[in-house]
Amino acid sequence: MEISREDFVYIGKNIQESQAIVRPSMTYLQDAWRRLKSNRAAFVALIILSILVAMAIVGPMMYSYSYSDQDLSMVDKAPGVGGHIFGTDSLGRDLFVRIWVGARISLFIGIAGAVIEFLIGVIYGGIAGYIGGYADEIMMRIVDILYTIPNLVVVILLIMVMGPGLHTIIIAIALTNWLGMARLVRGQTLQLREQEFVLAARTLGADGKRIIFKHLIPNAIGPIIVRLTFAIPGAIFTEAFLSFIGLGVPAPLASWGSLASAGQRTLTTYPWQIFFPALFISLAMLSFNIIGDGLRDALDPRLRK
Amino acid sequence: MIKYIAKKLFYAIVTIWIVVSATFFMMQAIPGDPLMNEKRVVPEIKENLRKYYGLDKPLHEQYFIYLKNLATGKMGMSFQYKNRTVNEIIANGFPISASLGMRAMIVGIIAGLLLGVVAALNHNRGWDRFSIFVAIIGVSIPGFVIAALLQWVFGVKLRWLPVAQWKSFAHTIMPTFALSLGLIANLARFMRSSMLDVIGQDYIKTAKAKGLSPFEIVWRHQIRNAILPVITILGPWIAIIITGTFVIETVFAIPGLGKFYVQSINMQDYTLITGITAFFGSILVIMNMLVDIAYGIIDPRIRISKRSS
Repeated sequence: MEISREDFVYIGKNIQESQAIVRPSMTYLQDAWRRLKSNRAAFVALIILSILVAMAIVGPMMYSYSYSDQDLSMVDKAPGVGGHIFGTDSLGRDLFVRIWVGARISLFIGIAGAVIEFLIGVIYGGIAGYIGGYADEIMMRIVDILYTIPNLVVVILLIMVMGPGLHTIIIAIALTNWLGMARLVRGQTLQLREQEFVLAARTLGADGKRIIFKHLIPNAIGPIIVRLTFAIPGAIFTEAFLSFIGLGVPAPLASWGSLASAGQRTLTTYPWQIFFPALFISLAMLSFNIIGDGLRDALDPRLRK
Repeated sequence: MIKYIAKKLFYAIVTIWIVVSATFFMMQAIPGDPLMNEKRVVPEIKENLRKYYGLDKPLHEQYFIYLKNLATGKMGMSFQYKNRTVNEIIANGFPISASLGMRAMIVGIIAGLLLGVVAALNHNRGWDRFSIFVAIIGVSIPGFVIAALLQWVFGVKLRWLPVAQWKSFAHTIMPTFALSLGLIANLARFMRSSMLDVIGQDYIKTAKAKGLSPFEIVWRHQIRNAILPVITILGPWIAIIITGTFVIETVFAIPGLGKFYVQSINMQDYTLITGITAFFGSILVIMNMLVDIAYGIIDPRIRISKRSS
């Protein structure tokens, strides 16, 4: 093939055009949200989760029974019998209402556990990473030692001492999980602390508190959010486990975990008593995990296209 | 290296001491009395019982007796199972739990790694999607739900496997699988992404250019390089598997230590709870220490600084 001079046209340089900003400027979170939206699985998970949360709020009000109303003439009824969509349990309590009350408890435990974990971890890890030196050394040695204590031992002992209850469970979960968060935040802070923008802020006269909360933590927020999304299902799982071994929320209160473990005992005769709680725990776990994965991709600036 | 091992050993001992002491003092802080359930007993006998169990001595004395007994391996009598010592219960239950745990570990590691490798080699095809599916199911469904589901399908409906108990090989299949599913899921996921990382590396191209057979490339270059970061997640899984045995043993009525532990919690059998907690805590701490030392041997970078990663 012949290439002739006429095929080419000299365009010249247009400095203004080449330096113009083509892409719209976006903040970090806008950008992350845009990427999360384009992730179909994460978006579906987000919708499922929203439905579960909405049902947790309105579900218990859709019926005239309360979660603790017993009806001994309607014991262990199959789904659909007598207007009980999900059937009844061994005391004739409506499982539909109990599942959504359980959703409240489980989601509350998950979110509250994660939030407390976040607060303790960020403050502890942020301080250790920012101050550095001896303080960091001592603070992290403490974390190291606490880290080797099996979580489960601590959770079980704490609950036995404080007595099973909603608050106890949340406290026990948060007290064992903050260590990982503290390590994460400290590692991030240590990395960021040496960067130029922190030096710039300090030159401008920002004090330690401002640097930690305005510069270091916002820059480390991506991995922190991802960890939080995984902390919520983790807490719900722990609660389910505790319910199973008899240290869950006390009756007649219900959580997904306690409903599933109660249903497990009557599996062979009334399988729906475990089916529904198990379905919703799994659905919620699934959604949180998929959203966590999606967020991990969305919040990683290196993946920005 | 010796310094590293000594440091780990020191941490392990301190941690075991903390676990053991915390267990003791927290048990003391629980409202109620171990003999609370014995309502029909006359006060004099109750007093004798207290003396028999050593509950009449001051707290610090009880603590030192407890430490001394633990150090010499005596963990006292169970309150609930009359005439059975905690030692006996642990000695009877632990081999079963350990056997279950080991089986689950082995099945989980083999199946998980295999699934991860197959998924990565078939990136974005059927096997890959299957492994992602397993990975998501495995982390989304609690162990006792899986266990109950298995029992219902294979035990009650199909009648292929015994529903519960721990007698023959057939009895071990369902508990082992239920316990290992989480590990399979996690390992498959990690191995898959680690393999995908390695597959994109230049040395794989070099190996191909050299004319190595596909098997050799996969085995010697891809799997061996991909497996190292994956091994590091095994440490925490020892704890998760042990916790899992509590649930799985209770669901399948396996007379292991986990089942006794759950029962002792429900029946407030203090000596048994303290004994098993101290035992489990120590096992976990020792296992973690061994894993840490193993990492130090496999990957020298960990020895120098583990926390900065």
